[in-house]
Amino acid sequence: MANSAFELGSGGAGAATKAQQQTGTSTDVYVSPGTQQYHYSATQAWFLYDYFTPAILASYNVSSIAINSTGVIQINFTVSFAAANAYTISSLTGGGATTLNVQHIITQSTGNCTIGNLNSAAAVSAPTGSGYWAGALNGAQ
Amino acid sequence: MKYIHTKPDGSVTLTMFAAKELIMRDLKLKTMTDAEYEEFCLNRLKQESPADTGHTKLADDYVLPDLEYFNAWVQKGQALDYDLVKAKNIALTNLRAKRDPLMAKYDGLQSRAVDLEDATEIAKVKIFKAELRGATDALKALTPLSIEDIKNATPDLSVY
Repeated sequence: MANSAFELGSGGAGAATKAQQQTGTSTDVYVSPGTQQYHYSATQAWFLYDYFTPAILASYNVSSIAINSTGVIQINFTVSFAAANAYTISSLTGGGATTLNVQHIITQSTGNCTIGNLNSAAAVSAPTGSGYWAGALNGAQ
Repeated sequence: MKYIHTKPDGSVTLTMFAAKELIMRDLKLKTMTDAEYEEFCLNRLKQESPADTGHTKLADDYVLPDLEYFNAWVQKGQALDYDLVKAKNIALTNLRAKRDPLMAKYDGLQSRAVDLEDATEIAKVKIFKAELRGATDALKALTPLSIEDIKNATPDLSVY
């Protein structure tokens, strides 16, 4: 089996391009910090948000978070996704021993998505418990 | 950095921006001045909410109104205030949401007390239920002049 250019140290191996990262099959190029997030196994955006302060505690590729109405937040991306349906969202908020928070996606577009929090009465409401709200978004940028 | 702006329907949006260092990292920028960061935030805000008006940066030490009444927030110039009619309705809705499960609980206790022919318990439960039924009376009758009026007229149901 032939060695890759990278293994040979021939100087022929370069950094993976965005397209190569998204294809995800090459073993002849290396990954640079600036392009690693384009691989589909990577999370393209994530956030940890304190609803009650309110403040972004930590994030990646999230330029801002807005409260649109009670229990509804809008995540605005620093770099947009390739298409409105090109990513998935997983989200959770802090609850308590007797409280329930469930999130649902209200809208999603290339530049932002809105997520609503439902309580045990199935009504949109502010998160209960800690108020911490985390989310991860995976897909194509 | 926090901004407020008003949607065409009069409701308020509160937008919190990620720290400058995070924006720089995400955009792969080596430098960004504070002025450039502020310009970035305002430009993004206007792109993301073109129909909104009154985009205003809040001072770092600005104390936000009570988030429980967020849907009653209104923008007045560069500050936030409450729509007291909306705030009163929010308080009533929240109070009823807390009261309904308590009423169900006392209905159960009343049935049990009747089955056991426990007159003392029956009388006690009747008093609690009457108090719960009247929990919204003060709020309903209130013409609030401040959010404190609404808070003061909202009974604490955690004692039941």
